[in-house]
Amino acid sequence: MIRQTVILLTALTSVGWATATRGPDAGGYTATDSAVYSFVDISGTGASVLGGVDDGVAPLIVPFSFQFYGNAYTMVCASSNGALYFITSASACAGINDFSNADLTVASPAGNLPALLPFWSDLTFQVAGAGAVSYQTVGSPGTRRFVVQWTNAYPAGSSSPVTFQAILFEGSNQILFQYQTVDLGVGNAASNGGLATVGIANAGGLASGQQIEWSYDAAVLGNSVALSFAPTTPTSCAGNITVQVTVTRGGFAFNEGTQRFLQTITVTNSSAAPIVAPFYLVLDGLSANASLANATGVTVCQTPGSPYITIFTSGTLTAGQAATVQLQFANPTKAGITYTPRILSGAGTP
Amino acid sequence: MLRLATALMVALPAVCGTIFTIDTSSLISNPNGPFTADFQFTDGSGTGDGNNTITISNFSDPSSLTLSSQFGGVAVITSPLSFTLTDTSFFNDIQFILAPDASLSFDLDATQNFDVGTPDTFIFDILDRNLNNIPTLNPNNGIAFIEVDLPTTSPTAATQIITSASDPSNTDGVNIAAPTESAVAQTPEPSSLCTEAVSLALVLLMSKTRVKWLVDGPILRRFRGEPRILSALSDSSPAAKAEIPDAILECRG
Repeated sequence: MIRQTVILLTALTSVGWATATRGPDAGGYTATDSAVYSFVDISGTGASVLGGVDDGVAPLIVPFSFQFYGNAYTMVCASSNGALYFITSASACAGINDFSNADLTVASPAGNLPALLPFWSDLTFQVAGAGAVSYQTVGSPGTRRFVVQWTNAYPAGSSSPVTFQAILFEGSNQILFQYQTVDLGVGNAASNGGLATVGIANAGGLASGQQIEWSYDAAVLGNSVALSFAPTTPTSCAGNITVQVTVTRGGFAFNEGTQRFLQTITVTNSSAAPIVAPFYLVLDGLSANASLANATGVTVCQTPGSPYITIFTSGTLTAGQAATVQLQFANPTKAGITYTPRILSGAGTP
Repeated sequence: MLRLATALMVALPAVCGTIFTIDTSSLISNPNGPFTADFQFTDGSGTGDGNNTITISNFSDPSSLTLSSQFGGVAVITSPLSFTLTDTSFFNDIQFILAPDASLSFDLDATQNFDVGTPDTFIFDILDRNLNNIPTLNPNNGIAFIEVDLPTTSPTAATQIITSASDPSNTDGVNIAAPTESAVAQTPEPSSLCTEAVSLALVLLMSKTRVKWLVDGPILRRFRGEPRILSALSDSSPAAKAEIPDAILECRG
């Protein structure tokens, strides 16, 4: 009887602690809940903002360069609603309205900004007993961690608060969400993320696939749980064969219906040797006003952070043979689109 | 004398005027109208260098066009209707609500200065009442009935004109054949490259040694406009090429 109980408990424990992973996404990020939980409580030591505020935001300086989907940031916008947005100027933080969390598979985070969403929900600090958002940098240069913590934030309609944090790691560019208190008890719809979106998303992530939604309005979190999001470390890189090909760019045309600029690229194998798939076109230095809406992902190897598109995934481009691919650019300001093409091929990570 | 004729050709900055005619009969009384005629000119360099201008004029029925929007380097003359699109911005665009006749025609002239890598590109496309493009069989973008790509420094590049029919799968009930193109009837004047014919005639008169080559060679067979001529020249024998003045070859630029 005892043995049966032990077996049963072991089985239940195994189920309860089974790790989950997501990704890699189109940006090479993977997520896991197998990260070690080690809450860095800064509620008493960090600077605090947004205390007593509902639906508020505050720009925060990150004291090191943090790479997120290949872009470097030194500023985030903290929202009282359990989200962090990467921004390039404090003014971009103003006016964000994000009290209504969304399903990332059908909608983008507020302002389509690159976002960390540890517990994106309608939270408030405007009730008695509520805390604030704290932030603090810990560790030594080179391996610093920037901690942002929501302490005693009240989900809408909940009489109990949640406390959680997001940590940005210098160097590795890992992101860690840690949940100290999110289990609000049976019957509380907000408990364990039941009314929250959890995940990360790049700007335009809905179209590019550069996002990971861990959960949406699902009670899958728990107290003392940690979620890690990290860029994949490639084991090998696709080869740069730009010198072996001729890249011919077509002119731009604007599709009014899709609001995309279109451009056809022809890549001709100008070498004697065949080029083996997979075969990628990388746009290095793409002008900041534009994004490649039909990108397959962003590069991880060599010059990381550039959008790329897969030209073909199988077959061979023989000498003199050409392949074409259509690029679709989002370019809301209709300013110039410039970039330097780079061609990669073969096994390995672009 | 040969040098004089050559100079005449080189000093001319524009490509030949071309008349485009589009069958717009399927737009008449079409429930997906009103349709919008859209003329775009994008800058290949992306910098808005303003080094090329497209001129659209001589509409078959100007009264069928009502200006609805413009963006970037656009200048309009209302009477008689004509406009220019200059790549002073990356995107230069003018749109007209179309009250369609059986056809729409206009003249197009273009300067043809180089942009490195990506061509300055003109397109003519048509939007339905929801401002969605009527899809076409254009192989590059799927929306242009007329596409004019100005030269780049690519060795193989020259001005290209692509005309395309509407995609039969379009859901707007639009059936437009590929627009026809024809050369503008020319009154020789020094500001138009269409005087190439005159120049060539001068060359023929001035150099008997070249007469046979020009008559037998690709120039006269393919004579239509500068890009085609230059393509023809590149097809010529080395000996013939040696006789082609450098200035003519520079017309690629």
